[in-house]
Amino acid sequence: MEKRKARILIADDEVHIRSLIRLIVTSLGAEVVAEAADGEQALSLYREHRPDMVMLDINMPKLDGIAVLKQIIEINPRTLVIMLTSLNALDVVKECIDNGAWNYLLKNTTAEELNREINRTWKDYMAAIQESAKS
Amino acid sequence: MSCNHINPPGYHFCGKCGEALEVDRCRCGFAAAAGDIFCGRCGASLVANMGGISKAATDTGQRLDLELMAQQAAQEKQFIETTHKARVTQDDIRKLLVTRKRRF
Repeated sequence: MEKRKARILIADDEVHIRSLIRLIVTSLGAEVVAEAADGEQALSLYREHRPDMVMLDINMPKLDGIAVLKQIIEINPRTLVIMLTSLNALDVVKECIDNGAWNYLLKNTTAEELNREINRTWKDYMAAIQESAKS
Repeated sequence: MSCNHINPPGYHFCGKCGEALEVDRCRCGFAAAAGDIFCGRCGASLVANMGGISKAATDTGQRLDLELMAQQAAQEKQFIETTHKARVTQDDIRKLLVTRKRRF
């Protein structure tokens, strides 16, 4: 990740997935500001830390990731939310994108591909921010 | 459940008495509440998981509710179609994102 250090919230009920994502994003130069194990905690930590980016699982206890996504986007539509899930149903993918997710990553991809996709998404996001600042 | 406590969605055990809750798991992975007919996330019929006609269709006064059975059959057909056809890979998602490039 370039220029500015991204502040990231990781929300996933599986601890090993959170560890993997933490490894990937810190290797990209980002800072993990908080980790959540369920949807309610994710929202609460989002409100507390206001991170730039949220890595968000869908199937979580208490509140699912799609509901969390909708609320985050309602709070701040400029938040970069990347869904990270094992759900590969097209309608779920579309629902997430339509509700403001910037990317949708499948958990069955390799760590290398996750690394590449997260980095690319951050660059696209920063480019869109800069573009909106010009206009 | 014996204590009649109302547990929020996603609970596998009762928050009050600790008893295991009956949960129907949809093929999309969502844990639906016991007795639900449709998945709360993807809308798929949960009766397909039960292997045929649901209890709701057969228990109504011990008569077969043909309208409900037809409705369930249509939902199962739709569920099978969506689960078999609408699966995506990371490549598909990448292509989809290109067509929906985000702007502020």
